Amino acid sequence: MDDAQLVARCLGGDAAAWEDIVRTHTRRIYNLCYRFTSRREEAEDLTQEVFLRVFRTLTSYDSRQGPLGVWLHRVARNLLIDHYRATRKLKHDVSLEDSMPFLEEKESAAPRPDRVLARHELSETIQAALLRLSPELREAVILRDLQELDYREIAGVLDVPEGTVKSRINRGRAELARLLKRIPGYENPEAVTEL
Amino acid sequence: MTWDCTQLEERLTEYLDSRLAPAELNAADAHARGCARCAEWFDARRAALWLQKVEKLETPPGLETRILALTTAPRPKPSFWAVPGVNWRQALTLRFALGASSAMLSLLLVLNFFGVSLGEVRLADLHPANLYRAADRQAYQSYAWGVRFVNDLRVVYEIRSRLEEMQEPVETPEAAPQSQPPAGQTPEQKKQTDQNQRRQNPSTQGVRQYWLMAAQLAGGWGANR
Repeated sequence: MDDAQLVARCLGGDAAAWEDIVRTHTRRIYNLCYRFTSRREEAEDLTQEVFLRVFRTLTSYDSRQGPLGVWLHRVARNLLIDHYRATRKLKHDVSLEDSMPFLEEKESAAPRPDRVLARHELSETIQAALLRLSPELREAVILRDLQELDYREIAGVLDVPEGTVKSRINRGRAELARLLKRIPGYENPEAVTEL
Repeated sequence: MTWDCTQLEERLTEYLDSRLAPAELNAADAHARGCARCAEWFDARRAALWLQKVEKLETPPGLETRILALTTAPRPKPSFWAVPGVNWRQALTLRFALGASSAMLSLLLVLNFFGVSLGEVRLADLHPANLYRAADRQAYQSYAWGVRFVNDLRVVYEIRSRLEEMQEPVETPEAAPQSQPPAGQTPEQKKQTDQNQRRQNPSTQGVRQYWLMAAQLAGGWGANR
């Protein structure tokens, strides 16, 4: 069943169809909210709000504009921006230095290739680095590399041309690289399999 | 195969996404690593690869259920108030409301009598130790109040009885010569005259005695309080 049919069934009062949508997309939307806020509880509340908004505005979904998942991302992103403006700052307790102790090391300090970061530690480190990017670059990188949307879909979510999306993602990745360069074995991430 | 800056710039997005053929990817890497202008793209491709290693969070338990509960028709859920066999809707009649409000009023009156003001109650006051202390204090205060009341009552009765005592001897020895009845009076008239005289002419000695007594009693009464 395609998204258009699923939404039509929802609008016809089919609770099972709505449940299907919720169960399919909750995890991705929750992850998106977490990447924007860095707080699990806040992300949970925002995910609820996203689905509440989606439920109320389901009639405005047009399947010709893209898959339902992308439309959900668009709704979520708008809500996250509202939330960001309301709280005025991205609150995060963990500073970049706290979660990246090796960033504090001096240039001359010996590299520690033996050090293998636990996957969770690495994820937190990257999350902290992401929060250092400007919001414009950050959201583009999150949508591409963490939410795995394609460029056209991201252009739809952000409502900007595809060329702009590409340029933001490229610049965002280069900025992030500057922050992550001290990860042990940074040059060869594909070789790190112990994670 | 070797790459130059122009090639890399033309296919930059594919390179950063690692969507080139392996041979192309190696050639691009080799160029980018050694080129001052393109070195940042070499690092940027690594950043994208590191991002792929970020763990995806699991959906928090109960989140989907909460979303569904918020968005679909409300389903009846057993709650604290759902006492089996009690229909709260039926209980909400006028009679029930009147009963409840009078019960609340009585409770407030009782609390007020015991000196409890609901506005001043704090969470700490509800601690068992504090409740016990408050009750203990209240009991002592009530007892002291009762003792004082009984003592005051005793003083009042003592004053009254002393007064009665004082008035008795006043009339007998000194008033006797004055109380010669005029001739021709009946016994009832004589009695009436006696009483009038007693009211109008209390002796000076009696008055002094009275004030002395009153001062003594007042002193004792003051000490009691």
